[in-house]
Amino acid sequence: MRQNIPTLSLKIETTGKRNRNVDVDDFLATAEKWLHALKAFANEQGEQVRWEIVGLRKSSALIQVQPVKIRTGKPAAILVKRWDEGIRRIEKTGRPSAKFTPVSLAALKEFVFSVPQNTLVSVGNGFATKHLHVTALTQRRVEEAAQRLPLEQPREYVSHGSVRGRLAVLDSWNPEERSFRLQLPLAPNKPVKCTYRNGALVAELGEGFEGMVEITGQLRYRPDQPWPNTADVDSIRVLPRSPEVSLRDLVGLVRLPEGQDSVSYIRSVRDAD
Amino acid sequence: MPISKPALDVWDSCCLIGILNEEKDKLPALLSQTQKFEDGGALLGIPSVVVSEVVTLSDGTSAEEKVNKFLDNHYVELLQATREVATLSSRMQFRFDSKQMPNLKERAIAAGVPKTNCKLTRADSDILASALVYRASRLTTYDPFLRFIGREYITKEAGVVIDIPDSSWLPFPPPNKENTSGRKLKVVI
Repeated sequence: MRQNIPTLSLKIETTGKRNRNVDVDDFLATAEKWLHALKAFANEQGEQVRWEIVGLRKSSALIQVQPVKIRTGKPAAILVKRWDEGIRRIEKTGRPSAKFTPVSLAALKEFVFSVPQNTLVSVGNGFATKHLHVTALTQRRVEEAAQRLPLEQPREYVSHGSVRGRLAVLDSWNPEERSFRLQLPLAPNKPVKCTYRNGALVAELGEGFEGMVEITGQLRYRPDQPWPNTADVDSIRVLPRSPEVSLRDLVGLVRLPEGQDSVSYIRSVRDAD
Repeated sequence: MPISKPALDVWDSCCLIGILNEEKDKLPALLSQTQKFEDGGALLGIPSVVVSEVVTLSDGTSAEEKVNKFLDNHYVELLQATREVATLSSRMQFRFDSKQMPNLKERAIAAGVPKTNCKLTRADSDILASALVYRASRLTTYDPFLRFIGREYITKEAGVVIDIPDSSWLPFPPPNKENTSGRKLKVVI
């Protein structure tokens, strides 16, 4: 193994008098969390690297890796330095290091809390003679740092747009709060609560009752949900109850230039954008 | 009691334009999908960018009115480009960029994708993101690069199938690449 390359290492030893071998499941599980933390750190630094094993010793269950830039194939020495300095600083102060983001800190926390029982886990770099043992103090410090830099929870957002559904239940005729529920075909168990102020929309509601309508207005979305949960409706359009024009009726209505089919036409449009 | 929901089949622009342009190699398979939409077995998902590309082509022609009426069908689900879609679309473009995946083009060409069609454009990634965000079971497209990405990455990760229409049950499957040699097929009974 070359000694002058920047590397990061993870070492797992068993504790106790008999000095037994490290359990392979413990080693792999811990190594996976460690590698995940390294990858999260590299990603958050905007570095596109792959991680190569440069050393693996059976006797002490030690793995040594180096980040290598995908584009150039050269080791990313700065990443090693930032990681090593960062975790040592966190361990010392309980404050997030400047180079750790909420995401990489969360991954680090997951790693330090995954230490198997009756083992001693330490991390280091290829140059440092002194490894950093992951202890209860490390866990506490990392947790403190993570609390200071919590992961940002995705929030609800509002967007102007349209959504289609079956006008199922009229909730209220109160002039101050008129509302109805729209049942979406792809989320039938989560009806959208729609409110409207414009009394003139009552006519559309009557016409579209139990049929399909398209509402337009301010749609409120929960994070990670493709459909809105509430809507402030500006307009309602009643859709035809039976198809007026089917796919078959569209055949041959447009002629693309000679020599172009739909795939090459679309490709030319998109490539020009 | 939970109410059952139909499957979502998202169509790329080439499918609708293939019908409008009466492309013989695509028509049977595309039109054969009509029944499942009209019967309520599936919804036809049309992303915003597809609406835009198809309407741009039909605007000012005799097709305009019919295309607009078609989009009003109860089985057509217009898929808004929400914030989630836009975010995922950007991530897709970053992920499938040649700088991030230097050997992507090489692999795509080896898989039969034309050399000039190995780039995920903004519209491509919007359509892909719509299919993923709205949890479609299928993204129907004839685009070779989208189908390659589907086969190699997306289907394994998210389950959505990215391919030409499923017409395996049609009596005469449309001609494909495997049978363009001009040789007659021998039917063995």
